[in-house]
Amino acid sequence: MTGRVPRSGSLASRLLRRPAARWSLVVIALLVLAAVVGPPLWKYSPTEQPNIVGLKNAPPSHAHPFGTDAVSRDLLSRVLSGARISLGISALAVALAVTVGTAYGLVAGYVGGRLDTSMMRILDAFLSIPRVLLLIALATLWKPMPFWEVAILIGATGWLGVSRLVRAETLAMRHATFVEAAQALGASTPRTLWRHILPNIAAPVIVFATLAVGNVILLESGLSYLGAGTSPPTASWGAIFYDGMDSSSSAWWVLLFPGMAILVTVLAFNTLGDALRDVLDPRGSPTTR
Amino acid sequence: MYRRLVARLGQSIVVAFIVATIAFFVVRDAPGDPFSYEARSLSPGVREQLRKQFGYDQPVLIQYLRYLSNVARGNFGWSFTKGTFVSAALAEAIPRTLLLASVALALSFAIGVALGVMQAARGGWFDRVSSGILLFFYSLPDFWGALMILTVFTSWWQLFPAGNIVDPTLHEYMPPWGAFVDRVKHLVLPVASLTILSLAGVARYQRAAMLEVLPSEFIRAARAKGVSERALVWRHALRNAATPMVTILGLMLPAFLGGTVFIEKVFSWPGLGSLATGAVEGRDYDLVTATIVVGAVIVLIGNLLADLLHAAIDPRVRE
Repeated sequence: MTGRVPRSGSLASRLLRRPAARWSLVVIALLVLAAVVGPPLWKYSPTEQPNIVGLKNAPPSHAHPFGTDAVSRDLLSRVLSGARISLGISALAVALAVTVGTAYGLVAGYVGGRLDTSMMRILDAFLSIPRVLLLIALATLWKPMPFWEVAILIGATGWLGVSRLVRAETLAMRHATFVEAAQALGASTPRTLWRHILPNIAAPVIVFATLAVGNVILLESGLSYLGAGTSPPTASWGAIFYDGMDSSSSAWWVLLFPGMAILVTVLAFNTLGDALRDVLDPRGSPTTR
Repeated sequence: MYRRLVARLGQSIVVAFIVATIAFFVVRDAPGDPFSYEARSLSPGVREQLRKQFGYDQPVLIQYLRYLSNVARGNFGWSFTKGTFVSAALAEAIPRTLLLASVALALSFAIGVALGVMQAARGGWFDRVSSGILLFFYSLPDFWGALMILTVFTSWWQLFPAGNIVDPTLHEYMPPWGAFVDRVKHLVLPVASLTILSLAGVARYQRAAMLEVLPSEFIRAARAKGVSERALVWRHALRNAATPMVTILGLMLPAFLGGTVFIEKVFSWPGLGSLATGAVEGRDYDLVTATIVVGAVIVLIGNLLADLLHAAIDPRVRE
């Protein structure tokens, strides 16, 4: 498949020539669309409990395509509004992580010397903390947390990998001819970083960010599964899954649909990330053979 | 090399100290205290007395200094949920987590490396199909994958026990061999889940590392010399693609430890992860702090071992 892809044309067209990339983009677009227009269009609200006795754990039907949960809430509407929370948290967390991580890595890599050494030592210290242990402690002890606080928490603990990457790329580029030329022409340090280095290290960062979206969705759903996620009634996919745990033995649909939503989304972002890497950063991809 | 190792050891001790500080303040700054968990059953007077007795009425800085001096003397505090010293609870839980994690880590690296090498060397449909399957497992939430394995092998097809490390009632009465089998049986599903869910990441990295090495000059030279394709891949290429994998091993450790938290939860494995989730639910401050610190120390020790391994397989690092 990849061997036949010609290495010409714009980035977008090279990306779109890959079937895997096309499909994942379609899936992501549909997911975003469902998250944006889904909840107001669907007839049930995610918190409405139409009939706690009669509609408790009802199996999928024409009226409730995904079935209902233990308090008769419509699961389709919960999964749709969960898309807003899960995708929203992920987008916010990744944006924060990439911004902080890029800035940190750029400074460390460009300035170099002792500042670089001490900045990397600090990074090593943070990297040795198991993120999941820290996050469950934070998210549970500081409960209840609105979704944007969860996003900030995940983002604030997720920038370490990006800054390692950006630092390595910046370090390799610091003495490149075009950078020295820009400096010789009198470009200021911020301008050199912003206009000359940043565009040249963007490719691996974009790949990283795409894969990170999937990762954050997994992480957030895991936290919710441990009961350490967003506070009810706003439920992410992981929280819907968590709510369904008690009735899971009799009602498989309460676990299947939120679980599938997580899996499909993460799979789409990871596929897109892999395709982007093959296009943007051909090292280590089969096309170089 | 020796000096380097000593320097790394010193750094690790400093890092452990920093982590302990971060963990302490993050936990102590949270709203409430260990007694607010039982607030409904405690009268304000009793609560105040408990706060005083355990030093929670002091300024945070004083609490921090006290904590440091206690830790220096090997006292990690008192666990309210376990009703014992934190160190006793840790001593019980850590070996269990290490057993689970080390077996699964070894297996996922062995299988993941082999898979990644085969993918890169063979290419074609094998590479495509296995990459797809691996991406599926890579995208699966840990807890969901583990729950599916649990459902299939303990309830649909009752091959293995559903949780815990040994049979809670019968284990004591088993003959030595039976007790050993009982232990292994309880270990199979958690280890298998953790392995399956982590090997995908290993294989992805190994495949990329191999693809970077395979087009090298020295591979072409070896091939021209008449080295068999098999030896070329498994001896010449893999040795050179192994160095980045050791780095990956070090970087993967924190995430791997995070994975064990979910696996321990699903399979009710009473290790460090279960200790941590139980501790946060019960607002057991000292225990929460200790689990974070211990997690970090395990990662640091793992990184030191990875460093040694790096030196063992790459002579350039040794000098």
